[in-house]
Amino acid sequence: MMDDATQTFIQEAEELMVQMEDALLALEQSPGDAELINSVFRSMHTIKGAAGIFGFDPVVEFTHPVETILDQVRSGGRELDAELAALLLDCKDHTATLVEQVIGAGVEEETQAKGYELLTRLTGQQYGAEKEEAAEPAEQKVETGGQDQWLITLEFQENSFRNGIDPISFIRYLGNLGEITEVVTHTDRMPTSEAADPESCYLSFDILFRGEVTKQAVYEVFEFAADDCNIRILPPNEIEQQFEALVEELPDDHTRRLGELLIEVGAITPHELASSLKVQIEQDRAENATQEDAAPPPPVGDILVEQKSVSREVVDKALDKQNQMKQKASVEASLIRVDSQKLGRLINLVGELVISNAALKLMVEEHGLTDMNEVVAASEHLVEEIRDNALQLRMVQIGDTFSRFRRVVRDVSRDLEKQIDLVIEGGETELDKTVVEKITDPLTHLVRNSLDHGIESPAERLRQGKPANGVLSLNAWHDSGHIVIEIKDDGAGLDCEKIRAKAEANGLVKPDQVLTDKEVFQLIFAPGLSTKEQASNLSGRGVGMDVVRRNIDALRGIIDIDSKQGEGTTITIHLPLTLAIIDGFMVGARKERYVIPLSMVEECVEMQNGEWELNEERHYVNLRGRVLPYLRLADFLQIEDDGSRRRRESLVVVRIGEHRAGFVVDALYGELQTVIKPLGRIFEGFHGISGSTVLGSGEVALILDVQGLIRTANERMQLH
Amino acid sequence: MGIEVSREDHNILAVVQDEMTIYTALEQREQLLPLLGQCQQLELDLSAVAEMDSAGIQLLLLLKQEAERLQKPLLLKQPSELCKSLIELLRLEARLELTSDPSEGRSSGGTSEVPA
Repeated sequence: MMDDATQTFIQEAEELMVQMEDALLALEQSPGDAELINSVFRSMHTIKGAAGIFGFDPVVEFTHPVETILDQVRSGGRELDAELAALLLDCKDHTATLVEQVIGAGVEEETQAKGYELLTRLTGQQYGAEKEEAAEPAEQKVETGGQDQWLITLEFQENSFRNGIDPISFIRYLGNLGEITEVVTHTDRMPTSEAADPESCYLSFDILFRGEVTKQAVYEVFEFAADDCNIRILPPNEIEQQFEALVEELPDDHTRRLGELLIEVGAITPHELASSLKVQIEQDRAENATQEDAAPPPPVGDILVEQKSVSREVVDKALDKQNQMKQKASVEASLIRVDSQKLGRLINLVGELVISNAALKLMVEEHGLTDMNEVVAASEHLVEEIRDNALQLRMVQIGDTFSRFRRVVRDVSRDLEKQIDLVIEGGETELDKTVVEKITDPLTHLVRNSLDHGIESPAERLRQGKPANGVLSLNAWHDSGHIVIEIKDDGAGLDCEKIRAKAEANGLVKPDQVLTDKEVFQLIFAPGLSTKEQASNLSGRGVGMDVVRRNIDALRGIIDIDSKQGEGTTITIHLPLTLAIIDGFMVGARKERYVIPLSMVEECVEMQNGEWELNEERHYVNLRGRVLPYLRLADFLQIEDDGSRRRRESLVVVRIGEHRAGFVVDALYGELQTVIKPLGRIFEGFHGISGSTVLGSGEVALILDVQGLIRTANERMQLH
Repeated sequence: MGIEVSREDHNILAVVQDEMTIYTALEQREQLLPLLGQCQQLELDLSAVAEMDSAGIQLLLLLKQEAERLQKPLLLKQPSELCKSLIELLRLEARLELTSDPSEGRSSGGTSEVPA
């Protein structure tokens, strides 16, 4: 059993490695971007630190030299070229392997060897079992230009002497803590001799001091004088760097102020912060007094630097950290990790609540308890909100999934010697995590197809007058209760005739059958059409597009292809946002009740108004002049005739993407919150039904597999 | 705690007794400052100063400042151990002694010099 902390480590390490990968890939586009280099460094640094806490030594041993190299890159000591970036990506992968193995059965020898090999390549030093000790690279100290001493600035106020403060005594005492190397005594404030009051203090001192002390200890020397003296303590560079490192390591907490951050690492003392805040307020007041349009007060950080409490570098570092925290906060908005199973249980319970509320409503109606109507309506409304909120909990942005393809695109294009740019849009579009998990594999397949067979080699592209760089774009957006995912390339496109020829050879279509291009493209999803030789320009790894389609079907989605030869291919996937609870629309066929996802219902038309007309011979319905395929549910689902047939038929028009069909039903029952229950395995092969739901009456209603039914309706329709 | 003043031509020698502290600073200034106007050169004998604090040091600096203004030499002679140690602690040897460049220590600028 893995404990929670280890679990957290794994998750964090995963996230960090994703960040690192993103940053490394981005660095290939903009080499030398300091922020990206920092991000890579931080990720590695944090993984190392966390692994250290858990005692995962192999991870620490490997990440430490990598971090050292990254630090060199960061400080400009080593250039991050394409080769190093590629090596670092390998290191990142290796770290992932190490983390996996260290938590599992332990690190395999092979992995260890791979690690040494990477480190040897990375550092240019021999790594290996026998040289392990010697190979530990010497910690590279960044050159500290000049100052290795404390700089203490004391500015005594005029009343100091009168208040019994003797500046020299403090300075003499400071000498006990270390070595005073330089003192500059300033008397700038001293008026000319006549005006000068010898009992007033006009002295200021700059003191250089060398000693192994904390800032607080230095401050305490002068603390007694604090009321009569402006004290600024600027630590030596070395300590500065420690501050910077400490700032780096502060736990993320976006509510923290800059000053608090600096105090925490000991870069400033609380007193310094207090006085800088006072200055800030005073300056603010002064400025606002003189000018109408109130300028914002100078930042505390600037004041602290001006007061020489802290160096610009540390403030910048802390500000960086603060910004990072803020950004994280804005993205993650104070996040809690929750076991997805717990969420699953919650959503199940909400489902039960929906059903029992429906039962309640039914009872109230049956017994004519009109005075309860209001209560029931209110509770129904609440349940609806709880449902939406519970489902929202499981919503994640698709951007993370999209980002994974950066690496795929990079690796594949390198392997195939193609130049391909990945463009991601709509990454913020949300959908249910369970859907995301199931869409990743089909997406990967489609992306690989595009890279492999869609986009041509640079030479071929140039020959065709296209730019050498191919573009693969991933896009996502919401469309009436669905998410639409688009995979688009500007490659060779599909060869319609080739596909058709193969389909005819396989007996999938008859030679005289008239098909639109789109219909032809759909053929590539047929199981028989995905072998190597006939579809060399669209698939070919032997992994079938039929598998992709099956996956999408299982998600109650549909997939469409549009392609123009020589111009590229666009694949569009429509998916429901969630697989748990939906708004449904209940219809009746004979005595049975069925649910259609409300998001797929375009309109309902009653029989009497003559707006529509069935052509039963050729299986189409004419709705206000528009021809649609249709199905009569009762017939299609072979429901026993109970004599109520076709008393009052209605037409429900359903739509997914561009696909439409009409369902002819006997009754319209209206909207219904539908908790989707999976069908038992026994119904798996059952055509036209995708799930079931329990009604308030306790009866079971089946949920229609709309995309399957639309396809069937299309097949039945004979326009010619 | 008085100051013994003796004159020789245009030079004045002042021997400071006992202490130079916040308690004596006002009085000592009243005595010493006018002397600068009355002489070509002022010598201060600090050998008898047994007690000194920051106010005393400041007074020396004040006198030095005035002497510079009047372009008259101010010589500090035979400082007592205490005197010497304090002056050394504050690195004021050069600034307070005649042999030094009179501008020493002043060119380093104010403490609150801030970048624009």
